[in-house]
Amino acid sequence: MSWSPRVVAFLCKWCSGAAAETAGVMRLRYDPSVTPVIVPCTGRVTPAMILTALLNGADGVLVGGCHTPNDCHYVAGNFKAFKRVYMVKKLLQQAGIEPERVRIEWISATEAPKLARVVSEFVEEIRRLGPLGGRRA
Amino acid sequence: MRIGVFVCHCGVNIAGVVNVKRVVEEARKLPGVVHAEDYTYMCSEPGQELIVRAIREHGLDGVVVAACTPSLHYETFARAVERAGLSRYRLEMASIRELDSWVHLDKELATEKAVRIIAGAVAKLAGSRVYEPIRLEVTRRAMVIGGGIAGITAALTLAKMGIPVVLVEKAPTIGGKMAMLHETFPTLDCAQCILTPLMAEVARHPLVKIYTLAEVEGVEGYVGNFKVKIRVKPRGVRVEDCRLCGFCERVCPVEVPSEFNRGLSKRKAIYIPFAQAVPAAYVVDFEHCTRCGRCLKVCPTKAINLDQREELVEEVVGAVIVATGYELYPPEKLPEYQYGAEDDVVDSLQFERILDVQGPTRGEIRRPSDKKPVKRVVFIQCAGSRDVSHLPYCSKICCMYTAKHAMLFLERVPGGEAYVFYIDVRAGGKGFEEFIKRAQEHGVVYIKGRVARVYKDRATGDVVVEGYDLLDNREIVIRADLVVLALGMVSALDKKLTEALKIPTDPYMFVSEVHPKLRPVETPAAGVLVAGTTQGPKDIPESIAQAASAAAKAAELLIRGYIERDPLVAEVDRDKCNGCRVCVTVCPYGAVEIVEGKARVNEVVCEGCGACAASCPVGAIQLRNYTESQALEVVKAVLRVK
Amino acid sequence: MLRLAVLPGAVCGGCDVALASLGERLLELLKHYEVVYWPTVVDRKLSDLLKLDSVDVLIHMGGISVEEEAELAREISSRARVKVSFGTCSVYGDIPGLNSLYTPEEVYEAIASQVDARIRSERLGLPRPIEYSAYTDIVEPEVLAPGCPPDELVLDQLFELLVKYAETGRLEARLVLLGDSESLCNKCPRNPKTSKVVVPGIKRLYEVRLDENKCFLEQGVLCMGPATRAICDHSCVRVNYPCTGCGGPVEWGSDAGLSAMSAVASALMADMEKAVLEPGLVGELDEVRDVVGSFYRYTLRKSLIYKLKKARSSGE
Repeated sequence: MSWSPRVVAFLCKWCSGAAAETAGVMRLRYDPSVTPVIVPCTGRVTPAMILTALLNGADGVLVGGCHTPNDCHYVAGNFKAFKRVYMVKKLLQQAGIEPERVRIEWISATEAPKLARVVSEFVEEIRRLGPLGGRRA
Repeated sequence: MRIGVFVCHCGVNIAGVVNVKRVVEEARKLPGVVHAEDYTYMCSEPGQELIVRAIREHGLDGVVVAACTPSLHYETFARAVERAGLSRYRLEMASIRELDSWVHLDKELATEKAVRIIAGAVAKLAGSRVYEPIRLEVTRRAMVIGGGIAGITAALTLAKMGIPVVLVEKAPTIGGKMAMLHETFPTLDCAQCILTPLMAEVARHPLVKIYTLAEVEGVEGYVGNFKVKIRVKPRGVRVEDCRLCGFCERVCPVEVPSEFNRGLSKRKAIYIPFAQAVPAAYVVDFEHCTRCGRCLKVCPTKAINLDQREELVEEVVGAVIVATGYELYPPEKLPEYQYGAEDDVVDSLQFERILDVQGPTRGEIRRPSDKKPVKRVVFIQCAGSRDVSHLPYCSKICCMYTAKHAMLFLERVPGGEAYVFYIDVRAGGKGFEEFIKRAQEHGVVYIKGRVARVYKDRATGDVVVEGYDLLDNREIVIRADLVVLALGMVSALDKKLTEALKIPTDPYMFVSEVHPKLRPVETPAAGVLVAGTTQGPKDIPESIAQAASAAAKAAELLIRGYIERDPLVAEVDRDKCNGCRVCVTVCPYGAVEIVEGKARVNEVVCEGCGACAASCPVGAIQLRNYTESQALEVVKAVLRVK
Repeated sequence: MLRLAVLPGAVCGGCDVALASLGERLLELLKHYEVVYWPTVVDRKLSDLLKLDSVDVLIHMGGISVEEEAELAREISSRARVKVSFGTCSVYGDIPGLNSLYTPEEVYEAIASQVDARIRSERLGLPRPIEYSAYTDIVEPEVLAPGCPPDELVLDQLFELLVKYAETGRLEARLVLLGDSESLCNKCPRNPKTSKVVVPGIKRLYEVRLDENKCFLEQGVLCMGPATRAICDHSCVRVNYPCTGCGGPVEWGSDAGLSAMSAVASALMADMEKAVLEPGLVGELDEVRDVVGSFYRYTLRKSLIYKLKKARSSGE
């Protein structure tokens, strides 16, 4: 059975999540391998959520938030997410796991095409990296 | 757990791509799901009835509706489940239209993805609890800090809605900068004529209580119940007894520069800022008063009290509007312009005073140094603005008032010459472009270029302006009688007030609004609003519009006497909390504080972003309905499928 | 008389010293317990221990790094009524747990390439490491007594527990965690319990003139206190050294390193994010040169990242 990538995308309700909705309204096309998990703010995303995803079968994790410095609906949640994701990537690298499997992107509510593009590009990247291998907790 | 999953076809929008029947089958297998069905239009009356009936028949304690985006129909389904006696917090929506059927062509993959999304919603619902909306009684009273045109407008708007207002003004009179203006663009209305009736109205209004010579000392509490301490400096004159006769002023031996005339004239230590000041009374400048007592002897009503002390008062209000106005950029920072009234280089507000019939030269355009009538004036726009070394932003109003100044000058001075050095001319408002054209038709000479140097030629008395004319591509030197700098606008706010109210500002002390496009008068501090130039450079109509808007926002909070908030906020388990303060640090709203060694969330101020929950090193603070365990279950659930 | 056995796994000796530091209280214990095995202190041989069909209390210290240690731990544990996992190596893996990111082969190669032990020019063989484990990875003890080594607080509680067990034959719970339940910040003398804790940057100890009364995080020094269970009375902090996390996570937590990492990253320059932007934040975050060593010094073997690495290596 050929492998297909499994990606979890944490999208904030106000920006990237809204962009994903608009992408739907615009009938844009992107890779269905990504399962969206809407969060109130990327500032809610913890390293545990990211690693749990990777541990339970995700080959990649995408975090979609509002543009820095000023777009975050809750002022600076995106900065918190940025710092945490950065540390997760450093941790993954030290553990010998490709840090490219976790990506954080700023996608505003008006950037539906960017969302579609980022999702599809990221899935391609994960396809290139291959399966992570961790399938059970 | 008895969860029901309801999958909508949305006509063919979902069903055309997603195999709805198979999704229902798969949903039945999810842990906690006891019932699953589909229908063509779940949001319709019969669709909603289906849900209501199922809740009752199957004793469901949780509902997942897999359909369009929650932004569209969350309320619809929330009300439906409430009709069936279920709390709306036991409803989750899974968006399988915008996020699935509308963006994928492969039916197989889209169907699998729909099941994954639903599995996530079921997992989230399994961890949720029931909540009651948070209700807070509020003090039905507002405070406006700043008595300029924005503050006055906000106060009147609120008072006319029946909401009592406390207006706090730093100066001895309300009116702000607008009282200093001569005429306003583009209509050339007399500023005092349109302002003073408003000043009188706000002072007269029974629901408005005005403190002048007052500043906010400290603020406790939060939205709905702010306890504000106000330091009221002594006036030295009883307002109700002052007859404005002016005898005290005549006998006072002390002379100091007049603030109202921006230093271009003198006033006494007992004075009235301007004739139409509100409150209509004299004021003692205790900093310069020598206590000679001469005024006491001549006051016919014994209204003067030189022993009056400052007072500290406390007012309780439900909302605060900050309208503290602006100041001009300090011209000393632009040494190339050699600002100094004594050398006939003045700022725009000083020129307003020169134009004004109540000003230092009775409306005659005479220069400050030797009172010589001005024949040739040079205006320098963008003094300090649009400059990375000073203020990087545009101060918005200077092009307009400079055109106004130049035009009024030419009207007053037959044969006069007015030159304006500009980089661009910004005239974006209604009638503004036409106004600039009028100025040019009047004979104002516009020179595109910057001024390198201004200096006083002591020998001739001229003020020499050395600039560059870009369009003619040559240096230009003008020997003028007077130079007026259109200095950039900065906020007059100070750190003491922003810290007391916990409102963020940008580096120029303009208040940071929650969202510059959609929420321009709200600050991240719940219950604190902003209006006028405190928020950013703007002109009078914009200040008035913002002030009314801020008043409306304040009224939203106050008018019913209580506010209701979504209960999905953060909450602390005190048994787990160790008081490390990380949550206090990351909260953008200051909604968490340490009380008795542990964190406590102010439910009314918390906006439910979850930053605290994600930062807590021990998971003691959690976001309701998005706890860490819920989030992890969602993640595991979406990956478990297939 | 009850039987008490102290079984070392891969130890450094510190836990022996700590347990021995009970001092005269050991004599008190001797009223209730016969120490049937404790290589450092009592002259009984392993063969003696193996002859016993049961012991009442087994105190295991150290990690499990070679097969012999694993077999012994399992065997003696199966014969023990109450098992105490003593010391952070035993409970969480401690510093040797940092090996967890590598395969036993890689570990062996690393050691072999650096160690050249000989007796009269004859090269000695090295024991082959197995996948490193904490004691708690192979056995489910009844009592956890972490600390590197366990400090006064835990030792006091352990002593009380042993006496009580001897007197009543029962433990207070199915699983007893010695120490306090909350994390170190709860009673830390440097926690002002007011204001914020903005981490101004990430600094090495030598880069800061340490203020002995100020929270380490507020001085830019990494302290694991917020996420670490208080199994001591802030021993390190009191001598002006930041907590490095040997107490492991709080009872309800599972990955102290990850939550500490999230807390510190979140609070880093929290008042300046919009001024320094991502590059400024990255500049400071990069000052954490060894993420694993900083946040997982003692608990890597129990972490999500370890599980992920293991799942990855085992493939599927």
